[in-house]
This record gives sequence, structure tokens and C-alpha cells, in this order.
Amino acid sequence: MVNLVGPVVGGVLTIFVLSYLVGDNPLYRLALHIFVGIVVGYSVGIVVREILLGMALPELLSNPGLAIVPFVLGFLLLLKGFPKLAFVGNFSIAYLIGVGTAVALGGALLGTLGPQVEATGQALSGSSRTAFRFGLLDSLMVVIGTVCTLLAFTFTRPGSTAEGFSWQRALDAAGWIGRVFLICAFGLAFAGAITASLSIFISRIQYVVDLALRAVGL
Amino acid sequence: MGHVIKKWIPIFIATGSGLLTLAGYLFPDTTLSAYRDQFIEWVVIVAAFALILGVLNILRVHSQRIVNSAEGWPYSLILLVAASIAWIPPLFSGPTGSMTQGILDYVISPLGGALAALLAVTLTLAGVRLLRHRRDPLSVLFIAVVALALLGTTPLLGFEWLGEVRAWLIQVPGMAGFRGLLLGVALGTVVTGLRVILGRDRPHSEL
Amino acid sequence: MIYCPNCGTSNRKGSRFCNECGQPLPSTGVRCPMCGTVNPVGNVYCQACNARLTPASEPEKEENFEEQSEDRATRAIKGLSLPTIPLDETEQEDEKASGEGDEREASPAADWLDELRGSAEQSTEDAEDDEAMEGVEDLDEQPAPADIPDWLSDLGPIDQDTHLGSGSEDAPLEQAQEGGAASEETPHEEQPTEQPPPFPLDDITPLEREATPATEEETGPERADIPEWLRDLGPVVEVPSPFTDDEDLGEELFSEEPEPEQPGKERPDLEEETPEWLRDVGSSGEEKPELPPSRPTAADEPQTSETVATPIEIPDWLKDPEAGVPPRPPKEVEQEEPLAVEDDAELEVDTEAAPSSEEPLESLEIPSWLHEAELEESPPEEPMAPFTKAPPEDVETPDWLTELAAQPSEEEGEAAPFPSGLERADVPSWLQEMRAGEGEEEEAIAEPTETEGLLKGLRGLIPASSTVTPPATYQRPSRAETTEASLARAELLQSLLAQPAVKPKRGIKEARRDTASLLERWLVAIVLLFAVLGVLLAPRIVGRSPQLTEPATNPGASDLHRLVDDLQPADDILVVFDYGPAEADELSAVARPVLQHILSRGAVISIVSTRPDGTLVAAAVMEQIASPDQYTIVGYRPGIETAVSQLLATSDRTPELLLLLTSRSMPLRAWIEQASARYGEALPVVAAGSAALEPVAAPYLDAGAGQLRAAVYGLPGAASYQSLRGYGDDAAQRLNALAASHIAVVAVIVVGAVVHAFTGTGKE
Repeated sequence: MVNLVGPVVGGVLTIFVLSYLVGDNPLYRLALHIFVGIVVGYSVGIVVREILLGMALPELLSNPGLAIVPFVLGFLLLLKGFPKLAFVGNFSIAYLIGVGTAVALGGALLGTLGPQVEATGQALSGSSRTAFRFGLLDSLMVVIGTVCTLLAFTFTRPGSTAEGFSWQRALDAAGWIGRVFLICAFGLAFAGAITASLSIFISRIQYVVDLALRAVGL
Repeated sequence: MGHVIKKWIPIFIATGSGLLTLAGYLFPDTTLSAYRDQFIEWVVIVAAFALILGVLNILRVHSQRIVNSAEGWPYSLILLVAASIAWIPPLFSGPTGSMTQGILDYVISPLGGALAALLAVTLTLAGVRLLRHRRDPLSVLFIAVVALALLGTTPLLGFEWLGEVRAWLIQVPGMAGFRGLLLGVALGTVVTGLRVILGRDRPHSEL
Repeated sequence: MIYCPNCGTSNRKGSRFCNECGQPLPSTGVRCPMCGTVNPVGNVYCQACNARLTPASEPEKEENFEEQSEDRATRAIKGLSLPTIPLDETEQEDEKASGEGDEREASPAADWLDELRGSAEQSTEDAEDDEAMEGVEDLDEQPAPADIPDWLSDLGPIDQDTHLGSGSEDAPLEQAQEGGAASEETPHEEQPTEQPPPFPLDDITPLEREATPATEEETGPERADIPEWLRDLGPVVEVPSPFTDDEDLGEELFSEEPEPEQPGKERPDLEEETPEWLRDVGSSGEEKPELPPSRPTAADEPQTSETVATPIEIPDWLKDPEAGVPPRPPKEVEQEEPLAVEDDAELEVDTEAAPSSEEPLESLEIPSWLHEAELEESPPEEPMAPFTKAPPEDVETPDWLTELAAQPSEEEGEAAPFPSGLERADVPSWLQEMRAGEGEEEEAIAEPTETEGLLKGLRGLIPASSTVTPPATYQRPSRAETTEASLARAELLQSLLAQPAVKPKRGIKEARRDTASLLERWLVAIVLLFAVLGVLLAPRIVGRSPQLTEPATNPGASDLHRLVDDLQPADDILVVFDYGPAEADELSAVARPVLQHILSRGAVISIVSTRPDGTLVAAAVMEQIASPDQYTIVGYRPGIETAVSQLLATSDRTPELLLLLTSRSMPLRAWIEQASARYGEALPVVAAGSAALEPVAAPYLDAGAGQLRAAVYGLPGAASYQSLRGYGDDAAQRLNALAASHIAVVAVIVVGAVVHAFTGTGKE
């Protein structure tokens, strides 16, 4: 019986959330606020345990020199909650933004731009072509699709008005081709999202069914 | 003097720390990489304080709603009660504690799973209503790709070729499209990062 | 606060319009035109921007503007734009009036103005002598009978109504004619030896007609220029027309206001007012042409058919001998058919303007120039009265001349016989109303005289007024009386406002739309539910689950399986649990077989996460498949890129494999980038993620990039990996349910798209 309390609570909360299919109702809102409260509380506990108590404090105790810096920055950041002293928190935010930007910049340069551009160029090589079903055709399509997709995001370029051939019209055509590739990509992502959500949906339904059958005794 | 403190010191901090960290990436075999790692470790600690600050802000907002008896204040009260209870088990027993696992199994997982399950209905409805608001060839292409991908994910017996079609769609046009997106995102990240490090953009001062 | 005079509502100070009724509010201050600041009434300069509030030439303000208007007629009016002359200077200017004659000649522009002043002053100041009135005085002098020229005497006995002089109302005409006679230059004009007196209105005649004094060089009219018919009339004297055209007549006539006339009052000092030339006509004693006889009566002159049978009223200017103005020389006109006028008909001549004086025509003075011209001409013939004798056949006589002879003399006030052939014109009533009543003479309104500036001495000017309207004295309105109806409405309004806000009811269309979308949502949910339940409950109902699909051969799963197979015992495997409890239903099903495979290889797993609940999920999963010594939960790190970088940095040694368990693209990209940036190709990265991650990870999985060595996605990937591992019944069951739900979703989307394609609006 005690073992059913937890699953029953879980089942009831699941039904509260699934009741949204009927429409927005207080049960759904209750379940949502419980979820947010639990996650917020759990996050604070985990952060304090694993970061402050598990990593920062031992560092500070062992090496009190520079280890005080993040604590100072952290406490300055907490002053953001007070309007008169909020400007002090800008120092910590500046540090966070500076380092975070550099890390993202380095990763984008070394982790995406370089390898992906190299891979696009190597798509026409012999070794890469074998990975495609239709060989060179697929390789060409990959290269053209990649370039045209990049050209589809030129929003600041003026539209073409001249008749006949012009680079503007060529770029417009390339952009349209890129949008076709983007539609394919988004369609695939949409299908994958449906699959993932259906997997969870099935799991939840199975959970509820198993609970119900167990409750019934089946 | 106050103007100097408020404006220029954050710029110096962001630029200095950013340049040193970037140098550590560009020259990994030097001592710059050590500075980079040290800076990143400090960032993790400061980010923990940022997370705590965010949580405190949420609690303050809901507290004000309760004090002012604003609309939906009972829900805010329930949120505060849940938050005040949920931090205790992970703080003392960690993620592997039984109470923590109980919260996960009977509260967080059912609620989260149910919310994710609702997504299936929502996404299907979005696909159903697509042509109601946007009737063009690209919308038809979108629906066709979605249908092929879904049917190819779990192809019915006798329709295994749908799986191959889906695989080709992912490998060629899908990859080309996402590669273009990735490159665009990377280029934007590089430009924005340089602007922030060089002091051209100052998001830290606008917060 | 300012209270609206219309509704009594209190408005904020400085408001220009009422907030309730919109009526303009009385201004309690002067608004600055530059900055809009409301200043007190007495301010001259704005208190905000120091702009001037009142014009610089604003007259002195007075408390009571009503009194000011009353005194306007008597007070001196100071012009705003014209240079002003102080009041005390007006007397000095009067003293200089006598010396202004030379100034007038020197400055014609000022002279005409001075003349106007002089004439205006004389109209109010009877005692002042004015040179301009000399002509008028001369006009009043009755010429001696001997001085009447023959042509004028031939006109016949002049009755009271037929005197050539004009009354006071015709004074402007007389004066104008005098002036014209004195100033016109004609080759046949007999310029008098004496310079005619300057006519008061000479200076205001058109510029082309400037006052030119007669010179001795000018001779009289030559005989050749005198028409024969006029010669036949006797001592023909070419009477120069004082007018060159009718326009001049108009200007001369109306350039001066008519003088008020007293009925029955003789013109005083007529002798002094008559012009000299007219005086000379009577006093020269020389042979002077006799005036033509007066208008002959009907009995004296035989009337023929060609002549005017009906009497015609002689105009006043022709009757009044004081006028002394010879009639216009008759122009050569065609022989017209005499007008047949009835006896009782009369010409529409202003008989009311008949002068009061009834002196005979014989007393008309003939100007000296006219007398001299007569001497040079042929001996006078028998004067022919144009009114008594028929003109010669070869002479074209104007009709009016013949009519004058035929018309009997009429007394004043009697209607003249209407000539034949003319239709009696009806005087419109509005014109009749304009006639001055007999004996009723309106006195001219004594307008105040301008005392300063160029218009000094003139009357009837528009008085200067203040440009700044003084604020009206505001009287606070009495409290509005409330009626029962207004009280009831106020109470109703108050009760409505006290009611809590009610959401507006939605329209029928919106309600239908909401119902349709709700039904749509229920339909989709029911379809999905039946699809899933049908497969899940089939074993319990049918006994076996339907076999809709089977796990396909997944190249990614194969690659991953091979990589894991290549692991050696005690290899460090870094496993990233970047998914939460919400995605655990799917990802845990994918991660579990891979982790079990890794654990089966004897590798040591280090678990990290960039999500707070990641370690919680990891603990739950690992607790099910592994013992605590087989894995280590390193911990959670906040942030994304920085956390990944820091987690990668804390590893003492490079892991053999990096396994990413995530459902989102951002952690996947961050881990791949940081791993590539730090380790390059030294750290193989594999992924076991959600089905939504498959197209996103394709660029990294590309053989050319090689950033992601292998990956499995979703339930199909898990089922495929399990099949490679040799088990997976639970995954297969869920795979069938997934296939059924896929079919249901595709069907619903296609049907709904077709339906909406034909029923929707097509607009975003």
C-alpha cells in the first residue's frame, strides 16, 4: 500500500497535466506550479551542495589566495537584487560575459567553422562520395544546398529590380533554393520532435495503464 | 569618478578576461591555456551564484503576488511551498538519496513526462493547421517531408523503402540545410563574440 | 483650478478646453506665443522665455474699454502703423495751414491730402476761411443780368426749377465742373486772362488732368472748331467741357462728400463763394455774351414733330445760376427721332435735388473767357433758343436739347412730362428708400478727426484698436442645479463602476472558433490514444501485440556497437547525462542498452551533467544497470559552453570515449565543439539521443567532418541497438505502438491539411 502512494501521486499528477487536452483548468495549473516549485528547490539544493560546498569551498580552504575571487564576484552578483547597488553586479556579469563569449567564440571557430567548412569541401572527394547513395549527385546536392542555405539568410541585401541576368537575381534564386533545403531540414526536425514526444506519450500512457491495471489487480 | 567606475571597469573586465580566454584557445600549448582554465573555473562558481540569484528572483516575484493577493496567488503559494521542501533532500543526501529519487520518480518524472506527452498532440495539431494559414508549395513540401520521415522512422512491414527514403532525406538535403544553419550560427557567434570582447557591444552594462 | 462656465467642471489651471464638455475655457492669463507658458494678464514679457507678450505699439490700456469706445469720437486716434504726431502738434499744423499752399505745389502727394484736410476742417469749422471754398463762393454769386451770355439767355426765362445753378447737394458737381473748367486744356478753350481760382478738388483729379494754369498764350476756340449748330445759337461760345469722359465726371462728382443743405436756407456769402471767372462774367461790363434764353415754355415755341413735344425737366445744374457751369457742349449726335413724351410723363431726374435758389438764368455770370471768345467770333446772330426753335436741318441737334425746348417749365416737386418713346422706369424700392426725404436731411455723423500722421484731419477712419484682447472678467458660474434625472444617471453610473470587471462576452464567431479548435484537439488526442492503447492493450485483449514494424538495420547503431566493442577494460568513459526527467522516458530507453554495453566491456564511467536534474536522472538510470563502483557521478556544472569546457578540463586524463546523452542540439553542439577544440580527433564522441536530434547531428556525423563517430536516436535506435545486443522485447512493443501512432499522426495531418486547404483563409 505504501508503495502505491508514490505511483498514485505520480499517476494523479500525470492526469492533471493530461487534462490540458480538455482545456486550461485549475488542475493543470496546480500540477504545473508544483513541478516548477519542485525543480526550483531541487536546483538550489544541488547547486549549493555540488558547486559551493563541493567545489568552491574546498578550493577556498585549500588555496585561499585567488580562490576568493569567484566568491567576491558571486557576492557582488547577488547585490543585483538591490536597485541602488545593482551597478556593482555589473562587474561579475562583465566577467561572465567576457569569459563565456570567448569560450563560445573559440568553440565556434575551432569546433564548427573549421571542420564543417572542411567537410563541405571534402564532400566532392572520392572518399566522401561513397557514403552517399547516389554518389556525386548527392555530393553536389550537399555542397549546393549548404551554400544556398547560407545565401538564404542575406536579409540586408536589396532585392533585384533589373530585368535579365543580374547578380541580385542570381542571389535571389540561390536563396530560394536554400529555402527549399531549409524546409526539408525543418520538416525532418519536426518529424523527429513528433517521434520523441510520441515516445514519451506512449511511455506515459503505459505508465498510467500499468498503474490502473495494478490498482485493479490485473 | 562614478561614471568611470560604472562604465569603464566592466568594459575592462570583459575585454581583459575575454582576450585572455580566447588566447588560451588559440595557443593551447602555452601557459595561456592554464589561465583560460582558471578563468573558466571561476566562471562556473560565479554562474552558481547567478543561478541562486535567479531562484531568489522567482521566489520574490511569487511572494509579492501572495502579499498583494494578485490573480493566481494560491498557485504562487503552492510553488513556494514546493520549493521550500524540494531543496532539502538534494542538499543533504545528494542526487542519489532515496528521498531525492522519490521526488524524481513520483513527482518530477510524471509531471515532466506528461508535459512532454502533451507536445505530441500540440505538434500534430500544428501540422494539421499548417495549410489553413499558409498555402504555398513550400508548405506542401514541408508536410510531405514530415509524412515521409514519420513513416520512414518506423516503416511498416513491406514498406521498408520508406526507411531508405528517410535516410536519404536526412543524409543529403537535411544535412545540407542543417550544415548551412550551423555555419550561419557559428559565424554569428564569432562576430558577436568579437564585438563583445572588443567592447563594441556591452550587454553587461545594460542588464 | 478653472471652472468651466458651461458645465461647471473644475479643470487644471492652464487648461484651454474643458475636460468634460470641450468648451473653451476663459483664459486667466496670457499665453506666450513662443513657449506657451501662461503668464499673468499684466505681464509684458513672458516669465519663462522673456518673449514679448504685447505688441510694442499697443495703445495705453484702460480699465474700462467701454468708456474708451465712447470717447473714441472725441479723443484723438493714434494710428498703429503710421507715424504719429503728438496732439500738441496739431495746433501748430493749423497755423501752418496758410503756408501750406506753397507746400502743396511743391509736394503734390501731400497737397491732395492737405486739401482733404482743409475741406474736412471747413465742414466742421465754419469760421475758417479756406482757399478751396473760393470756388464755391464764386459759384454762389449771382451773375448780373447783363453778364448772362446770349446763348444762355436764349434758353428762356429761368424758373425756379430751371436755374442752372445747383443746390447744395450738387455742390460737388459744380465744384468739380469748375475745377474741370479751370484745368482742362483744349485747343479751343478760351483761357481767361485771370487765372481761375484753384479749385479745391483740382488736386484730386486724375493725374492725367493736372491743374494747369491758363496762360495768355492760349487762345480761345477757333471758329472753325465750333459746330455750326452751336454757332447758329448765337454768340457761340465753346464751352469747354469740364470733363473729358464720364469717368472724370464720376470722380469729380464723388470725390467729396456732399455738404449738408438746409432747406430754404440761402447759401450765405454766395458772392464770396462763386469763382472769379463766374464773377467776371457779371462784373466785367464788357460785351458779354448773353446767356441763351432760358428754357422756352411750351407756348412760346412752336412744337413740331421733330422737336420735343413734351416738356423736359431741366436738370438742376442747368437751372441753378449759381453753378455757373456751362452745360456740356452738345456732342454731334445723329438726328434722333424726337421723343414722344406724354404731358404727364417726366424724365427721371432727381427733382429733389433741385436747388433752393430760384434765380433766373439771366443772372448767370458768363466767364470772361467765354466773353472773349464771343468777341472773336462772328457777329452774334439771332440767338436761337434751342428750346424754342427747331434746329437747322443741317444741324443735328441732340434730343435732350430739343426736349428741353419742348418741355414746359415745371415747378419744383412736380413730375416732369415723360417724353414719348421712353418707358417709364420704375425706381426700385431700395433706391427710393435711399432718397432723402423732403425736408429731411440727415446730418452727417460727426466722426472724430484724425489728429496724427498722414491722415490727419480726415474723418471716418477706422479707429485703431488694441491687438491684445483683454481678458474678460470672469464670473464664477453659479453651482449647477441637479435635477432628479441627472442624479439618477449619476447613481446609475456609480453603480456600474462599482461592479467588478466582467470579461466581455465573446462573439458567436469567436465561440465557434474556440469550439472548433477544442474539438480538433480532442479528435487528435482520441486518435493518438486509441492508436497507442490499441497496441499496448492488444496483448491483454488479443493475446499478442500486433506486428506493424520491426527494428531496421541502423548504420549508426552498428557503428556505435562496434566502437563500444573496441573498448578495453578500465577505459575511462565520460558519459554526459544532459537530459531531464521529462525526456527520461525516451532517452533512458536509448541510453540503457549502450551503457549496459559499455559496462559489459569493463570500462569506468564518469558521469557529468550540465543540468541540475541530469545527475538525478543519471543516478536513477545507473542504479538500475550498474553497481556503484562501476560509475562515478562527477557532478553538475552550471552553464553550457563554460561548464563543458570546465568538465573537460577537470579530467585527469583524456577519456577514451565521450558518450553524449541529450535531447537538445545546444548541448550536443557545445560538447562537440569543446571536445574538438581541446582534443581534436583524439577524443571520439558518440551520441545516443532523442529522435529529434537525428537531423541536427547529421552534419557532425558526416564522414567528412568526423566530429561524431556514431549515434543512435530514439526508440528505433534503441530497438536497433538492442537487437544487435540480442534482446529488446519491451522496445519492440513500444516500437509497434510508435508505428501505430506514426500512422495515426500522418493520417490526421494529411486529412486535416486537405480539409483546411479548401476551407482555410490562407492568410497567416
